[in-house]
Amino acid sequence: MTAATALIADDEPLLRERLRAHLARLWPELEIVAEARNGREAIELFETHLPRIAFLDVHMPGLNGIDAARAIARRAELVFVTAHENYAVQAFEHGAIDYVIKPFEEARLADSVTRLKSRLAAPQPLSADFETVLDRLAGELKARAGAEGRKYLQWIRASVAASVRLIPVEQIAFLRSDEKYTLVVWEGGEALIRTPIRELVE
Amino acid sequence: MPAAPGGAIVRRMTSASASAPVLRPALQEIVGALTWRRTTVAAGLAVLVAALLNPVFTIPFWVLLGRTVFIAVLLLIAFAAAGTWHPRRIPRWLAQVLAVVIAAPIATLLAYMPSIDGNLTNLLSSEGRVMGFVYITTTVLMIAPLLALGALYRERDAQARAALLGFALERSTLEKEALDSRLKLLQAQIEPHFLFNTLANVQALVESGSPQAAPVLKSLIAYLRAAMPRLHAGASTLGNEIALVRSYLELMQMRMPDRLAFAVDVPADIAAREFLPMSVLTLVENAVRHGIDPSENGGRIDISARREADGSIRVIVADTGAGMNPSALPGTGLTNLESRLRGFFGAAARLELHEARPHGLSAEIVFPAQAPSDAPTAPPGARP
Repeated sequence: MTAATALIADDEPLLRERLRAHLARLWPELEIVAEARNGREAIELFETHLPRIAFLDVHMPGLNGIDAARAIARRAELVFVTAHENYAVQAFEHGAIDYVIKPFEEARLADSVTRLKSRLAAPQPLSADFETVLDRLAGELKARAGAEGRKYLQWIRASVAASVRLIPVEQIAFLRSDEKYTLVVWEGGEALIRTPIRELVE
Repeated sequence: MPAAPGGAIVRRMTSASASAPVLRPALQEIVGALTWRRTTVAAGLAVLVAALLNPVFTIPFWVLLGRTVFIAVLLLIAFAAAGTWHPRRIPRWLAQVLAVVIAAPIATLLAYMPSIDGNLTNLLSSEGRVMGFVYITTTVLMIAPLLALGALYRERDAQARAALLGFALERSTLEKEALDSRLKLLQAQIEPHFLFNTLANVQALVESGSPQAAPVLKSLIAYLRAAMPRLHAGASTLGNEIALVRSYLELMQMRMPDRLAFAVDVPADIAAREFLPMSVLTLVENAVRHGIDPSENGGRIDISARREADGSIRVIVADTGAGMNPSALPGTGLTNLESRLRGFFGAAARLELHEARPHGLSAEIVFPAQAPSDAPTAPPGARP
């Protein structure tokens, strides 16, 4: 049997340290080969070290833990670490994916360690709906971030004096086309922008 | 400046202006100006004039009455039509009175048309008809302009009352908004994700015996105490608010030391001012959540306050984070904050968002320097 190796991904350094400390006590043979601060680093470090286990925080900047998990796919045992996110916990339970809730108790981590040890000894196929659960979670996280989902224009960028103002669309009184520019008049003043109304409507 | 009475601000984008049927609205406006009251007064006066002139005329009373009613109706229409016309050089009331004066002889002439078979010489050849024409025209010219002025006076009175009503409505809307936003603030809860992640960090510090644990716990307690919903969240000072913001930022810096830096620069005299609680904190939380947290490299948050040239005060929360996506939802936080600001500092208070270079966002609260008076969100002495 090859040595047990693991990767820890969490954007908060104190939480990486704490997980590392508890793992060292519960499973001294486990070697933490890399620590990642975000999903992108997690994927890069995974490709470099190819550890057999990945502890992934769900909420991370840039690419999150779910994105990283999809990239790693079935090449490692995954344990998600998440802070009180009901929807995520439900999804993990439903998909029989291992997870630990922050702030975790050592006993709970010990359960995961036991499961991981037996899996490393006798690899079991992951549940069939593994990818489906991750896809659904990734979609949910994006929707929560608010960037996707609704695509309407909410803000208009306009130069006022030396600064670029962001004007909430709901405060705009009217827009008027002027040869090259569009005149934006809102509750707090007016400004000329270069974007034609046609483009704003899109 | 308040919107002109009756001239509603056009909300949202109007891609094309309504240009095609101009005639129909004008016609509707004329018909709208022919109120029951005006029509009745005009008809009543027509009867009165006919009765007064009857002894002088040889023609039957009902013919005379027919003529005066006809003239009255024409003059009323002229008055209403002139009201829809918006001349640049002369005031509208003058246009309307002039329209009545000009229409008077023309209407009288038209009233005579049936009896003279449309031939003007028939009128001029009969001395009685010429006299009748002069009598009617003179009487009409004496009464009609006065009547027009009376109608205009009433109209202006009604407009003033409508404007007053508009202001009262605006005021009560503002008060309701302030109340609503205060309710939302009370209902706002501490985000479990924030709380548990912070607690996980505190736990890590405690377990490792870090000397940082005690000050971090102090910050957490200060934050929780302030963020806990309470009923008497009245006025506070900007200094108190900044202390709360500092606690929050210290917690976040413990959690992401490699990604968050911050600085606070608020002069003491501005810090002593009465201020809306949980306002700067909302902006700072936004800066962390939408600016720093989504960015792999993080950024800085700078909080400052300064006095503007016009005496107003500007409190700035600037971050160098990810910036704002044009289709990102404004979130209840910002919308709520804007109405709370107006409720607390008055209508002149505002929230400005500026884009920072090369990336990031600067959220700025601007409010007049005078102490807030009759602010509905600040019951006096609600908080020590």
